[in-house]
Amino acid sequence: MPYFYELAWLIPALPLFSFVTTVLFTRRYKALTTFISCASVTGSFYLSLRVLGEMLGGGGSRQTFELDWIPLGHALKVTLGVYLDPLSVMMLIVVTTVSMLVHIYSIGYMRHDEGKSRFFSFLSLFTFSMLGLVLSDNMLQMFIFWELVGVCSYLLIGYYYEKKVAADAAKKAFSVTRAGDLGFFMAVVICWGYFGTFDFFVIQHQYGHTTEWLARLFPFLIFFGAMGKSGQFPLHIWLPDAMEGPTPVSALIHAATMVVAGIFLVARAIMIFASTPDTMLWVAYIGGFTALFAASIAVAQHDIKRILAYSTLSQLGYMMMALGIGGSVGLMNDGHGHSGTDLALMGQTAGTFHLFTHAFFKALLFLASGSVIHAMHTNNIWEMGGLRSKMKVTVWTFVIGTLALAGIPPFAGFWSKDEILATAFEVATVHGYVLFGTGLAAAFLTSFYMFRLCFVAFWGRVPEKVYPHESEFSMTLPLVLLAALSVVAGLIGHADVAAWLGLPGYAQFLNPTWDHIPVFHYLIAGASVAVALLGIGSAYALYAGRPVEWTTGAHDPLRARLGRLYDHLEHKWYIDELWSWIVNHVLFRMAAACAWFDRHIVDGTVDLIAFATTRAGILLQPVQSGRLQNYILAVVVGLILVLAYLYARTPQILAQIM
Amino acid sequence: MDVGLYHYLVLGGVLFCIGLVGVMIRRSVIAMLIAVEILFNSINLIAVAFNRFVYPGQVTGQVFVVFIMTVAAAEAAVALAIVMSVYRNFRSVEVDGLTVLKK
Repeated sequence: MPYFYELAWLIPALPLFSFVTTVLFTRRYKALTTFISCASVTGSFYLSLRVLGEMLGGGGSRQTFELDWIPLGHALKVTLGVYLDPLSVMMLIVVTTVSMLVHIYSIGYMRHDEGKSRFFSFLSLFTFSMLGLVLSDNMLQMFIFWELVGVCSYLLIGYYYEKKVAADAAKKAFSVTRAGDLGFFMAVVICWGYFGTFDFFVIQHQYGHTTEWLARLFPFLIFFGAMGKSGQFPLHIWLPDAMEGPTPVSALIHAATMVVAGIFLVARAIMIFASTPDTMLWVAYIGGFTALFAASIAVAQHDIKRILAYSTLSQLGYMMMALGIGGSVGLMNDGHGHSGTDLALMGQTAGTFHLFTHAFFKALLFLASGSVIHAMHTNNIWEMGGLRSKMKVTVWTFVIGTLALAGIPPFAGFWSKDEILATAFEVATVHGYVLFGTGLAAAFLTSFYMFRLCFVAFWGRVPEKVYPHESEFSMTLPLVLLAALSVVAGLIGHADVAAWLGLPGYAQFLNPTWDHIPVFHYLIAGASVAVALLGIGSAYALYAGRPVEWTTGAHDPLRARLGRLYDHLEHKWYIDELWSWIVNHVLFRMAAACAWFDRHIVDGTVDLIAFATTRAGILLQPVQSGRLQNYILAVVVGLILVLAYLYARTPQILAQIM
Repeated sequence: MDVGLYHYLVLGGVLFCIGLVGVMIRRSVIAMLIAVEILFNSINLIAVAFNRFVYPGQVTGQVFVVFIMTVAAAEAAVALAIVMSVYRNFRSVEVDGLTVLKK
């Protein structure tokens, strides 16, 4: 009896309850607010686990809750629903697990913060929005929650609003993601116009028969929204700046959950996407390019959180690439030994599996970096050093996260990254091989910059006059739990290992009716491990023996080796400069032109009407003599004229009266 | 001589004209009010005449007359109150001087 399926609506409702209660009633009682937030998200976590249990027990995919929110006849019906399928349940687990651990971590991290209540109520609001997003059964609901998570992101990046950088970063994040959301919104409107429904599954069913160009544009527009949210080039610029928010927020929103909303959206609509292979090729190339591009920037950054942010961008690019390359042959075509549908599902499996594992180890890396920042009071890796002996738990969990991210077996990232590379390889087109190469190159850079970070910040000697200490238990506990997940979460990706554990493999879980069994490619796995080891080796050679006097990024030995290229990397390929040029010289000029049009043409018309009215009033003023009897005379004359007119028009009228 | 509809209509028309001219040419507000009353009553006369000669079985015209009389009474009360107030302010009820609303 699927009992918890019916209670699934409570999963987002609990954090919403917590948000409303803490904002309205308990804001002044910080401890109580903290407790309510943590308790509600733990409740959501428990319910999610039970829902997962029922799904593994054969619960199937279905809608379990529907609310007619705005019923507007047959034309437009807006509903809020809860849809449970393997994809949404997987997301539920990711979101509630990470959110719960981040809540616990924040107890310690925010202990001395004045605005703690505000922080926790925003976290609750975010958790509610994200859960509502993943449970959406229609596009409009998803769009609403999509915007809500954007607002939460804005509120939490600007949490330290008295700092100008933080406030600016919040605005930047909001406007850049809004630019992407415009695409998603247009997709929602088109979707209603062409299909008369917001339901994903109805659209998916009808989509294959559409030939109209606007409808064919639909996946591209959805992808535009996903690009903004998931930081794909060239809309990636907001994510590194978003690191101005508190570190738990970076871990929850800007690493594990909100930024993967774009991936989730594309994965949800994978069958719509796969019927337009051209769009999928776009998705794949933008993803692949972002993966490599962001990884290259991460190599030359000095701020620990920014390195992680670029790493997140790079991994998001990886996921997009997997989704894109899988669908790039089209549903109707056959690849080498695979049908197009198989390849699309392979891409979906690989992309979302990487999303799953990445959420854990990236949240771990962020939380551990938060612990380091908490102890060192600096973000600059060159001002750290030797933390290995001072902060054992933090550093070793960080190293586990690093190994997982670098793709060293048996850590989580290895399995998912391998699946992405395998998908690219099995697509077996020129594009597949190109992206396979891109993926390998990005994997090399990933392990290089992560171990550069580790060797610089954690090895060597402790700088003078700094006394780092291990963080408190509420902060180290989530680290340990996430580290454990980073070790084991990948195992379910391998069908045999999962079967040995008594679980369905991830591919089988995600698409139970799909009889494809993923093959494990030893050659590809070997290649990816080899490049990862090469990355570690290079990092070791360059940074392991770092002298104590290298205390700024200027001493980076890579600078001498790369020359001018290093400057480009350090300045993030000048994309921010490019955007600010575009904004200043193109966007603001267009805005000035619009302002001129508004001021002179639109306002001018209004002013003209007002002016004409005033003039007419002045001209007609003498008519109003103020003498009562003049008015009566006017009335009588008017009446006589009307009667005379009527008589002149139809003289019979008099005869009728007589 | 039989008195028919046309006699009433002519009388009503004459009364109406008297009232109208009175409203237009008299300068005293009181006199204008009286002229307005004549206007009302000319209409009343015509209404009952039509009722009597055109629709003898019905009371529509009479009902109208009753309503007009009621409204006229209320109007007279309000108008006289205004006249009182005007007199207090201007020490006059001559309509020529009452042009202050213009500016």
